[in-house]
Amino acid sequence: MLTALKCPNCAAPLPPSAETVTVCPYCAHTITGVPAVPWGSRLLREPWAGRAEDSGKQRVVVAGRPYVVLGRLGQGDGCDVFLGRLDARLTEMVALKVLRVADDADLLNREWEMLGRLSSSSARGADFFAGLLPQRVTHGRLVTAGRRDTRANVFRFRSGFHHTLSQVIRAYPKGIDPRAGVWMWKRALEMLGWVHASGYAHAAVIPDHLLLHPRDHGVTLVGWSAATRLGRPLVAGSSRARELYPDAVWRGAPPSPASDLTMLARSLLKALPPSLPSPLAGLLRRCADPTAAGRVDDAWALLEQVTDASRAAFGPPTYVPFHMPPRS
Amino acid sequence: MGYGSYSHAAHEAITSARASLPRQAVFKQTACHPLMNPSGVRFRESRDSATHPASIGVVFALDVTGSMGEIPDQIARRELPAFMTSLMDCGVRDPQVLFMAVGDAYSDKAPLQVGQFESEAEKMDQWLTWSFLEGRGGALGSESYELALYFAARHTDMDCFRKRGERGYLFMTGDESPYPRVSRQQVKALIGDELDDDLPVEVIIQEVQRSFEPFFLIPDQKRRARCERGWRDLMGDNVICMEDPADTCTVAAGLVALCEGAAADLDALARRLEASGMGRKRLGGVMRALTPFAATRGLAGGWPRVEEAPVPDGTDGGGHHRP
Repeated sequence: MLTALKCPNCAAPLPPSAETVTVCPYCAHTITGVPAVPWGSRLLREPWAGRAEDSGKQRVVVAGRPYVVLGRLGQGDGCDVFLGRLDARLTEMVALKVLRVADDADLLNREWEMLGRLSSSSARGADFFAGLLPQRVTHGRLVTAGRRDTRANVFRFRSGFHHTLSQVIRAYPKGIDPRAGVWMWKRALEMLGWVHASGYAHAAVIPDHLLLHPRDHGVTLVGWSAATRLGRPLVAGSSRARELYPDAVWRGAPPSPASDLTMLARSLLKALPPSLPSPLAGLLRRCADPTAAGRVDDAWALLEQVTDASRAAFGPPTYVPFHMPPRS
Repeated sequence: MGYGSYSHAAHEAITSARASLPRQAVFKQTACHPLMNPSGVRFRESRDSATHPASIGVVFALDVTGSMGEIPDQIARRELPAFMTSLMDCGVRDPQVLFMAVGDAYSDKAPLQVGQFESEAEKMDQWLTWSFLEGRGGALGSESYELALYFAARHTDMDCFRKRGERGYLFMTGDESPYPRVSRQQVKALIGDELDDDLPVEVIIQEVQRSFEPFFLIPDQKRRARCERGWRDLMGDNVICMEDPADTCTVAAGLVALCEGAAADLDALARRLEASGMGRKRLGGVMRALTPFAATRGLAGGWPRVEEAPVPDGTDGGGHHRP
């Protein structure tokens, strides 16, 4: 199947040619009547030698697919996340979530399964929100030269969502513009509302897991390994963000829409300046306190309250550009 | 083929005259047009000429099964004139366009129909509207896209590639997966080539890349789920998920602009489209469709910050709190 057409005189393989009459480059025999497919598949395919700019970069194979590793995006409790691309001419940009702590292997698998289930949710808005979830590419054993094998989940890279809320907090030690806090809050609530309507809680709404698109005012959630069906107990918590979890949930109570909203409010409080316009400050404080009276535990209902509080504080919504400072 | 000249005005006249006609009045074929039958075709040629010294071959392989038939319909009614002008705006001086119609070789009478490379408005339009929109398609979640790729890989001969080493462009629209192998029986029956064995679709995708930059365009988000991953495994970020099938030509022209460097980056392209009068909503959809591919080429406004670090080997302690 994959052999080249041969010269009938000397059996040398003929080079690719579209001519019906050709001359054998080895024995100079003139060949007529070369058939419509005058070369074999092997000659039609150019061997892939890799991109020049990728030489010297780390290479890994996940579930049989070769990737070039372009650098580390961040570190979580059990995994490190890398930017990478498929090592092929028609490439795919990916985020590789690589297991660092063997004990957390179950969480990596959980994340894969949870995202599979959520992406087939039929809750209202699924067309849009399922597209905002990390898009699964492959998962399985990760092999790299000279190191022990580990495991990885591979997701499509989402261009533009380049910053976590943690990076924003570090870049703005005095706090971000509260108006930016409003769109971050609202976009995260929209997404969480859909997750809850699908019957799940994210259960790890921490600054490391909130990805932001500064120009388009987009927010998406990553880090789905602790996500659970509503009513099931907490599987795992992030030790580095202990203070964001409601106490009962940290001790194992089922994560709920209410606990997701509490963690979101606590994350935003870290990013916002200490003094806020009062309607907003009051709402945030109520949301951050799981025992507060009169708090709303439905993301889409809270969304309306945030809209009202923002209008009371800043007037009608306008586009306020948000930038990350250079080198942050 | 490919010696005519392109006139926006002429083409605009043809398409606007038929804007209100029913589909059957535009696409009149009730069987494969004899001149679009690929049987026995050695090569479809895209050639330079005195008037078109820098030809670039552009193949549109349009899925004509089921609801996908709306795309050729929209192109014939509205989009083609604008597409040709935007290609020329993109610095492609001498585009030569070939239309193919793709169906299902297991159930359709004409699963592969192939026009000729043309530079001239009327001829291009003629091949497009000679396509038989059979509209049946396969029942198994696959169509015979691999046959169109096979034809493009082995039965086209383009001066852009042969003389200048430049790839042409292949845009395939569809909402199903390809069959996993190019069937030797189908190739024999439809085109007439003798293959020793079936060809894996991966092989034909590698072959087609030799002379084409191939793209697979999925018409909207709803139809994305059933075929996106399979195509991405074959073509990576060259799979483009659109939000509206009406954007097909704009998206295709945008891809050419990004590949040819006619738009410095995605933002520059957005400014150009906005200046041409495109509404914000539609512009947003086009930009979202193009972003992943542009990002892969480094044309979507930079990368996230990364640090040099080795990939871990899974031997660290610590990890999550387990209640």
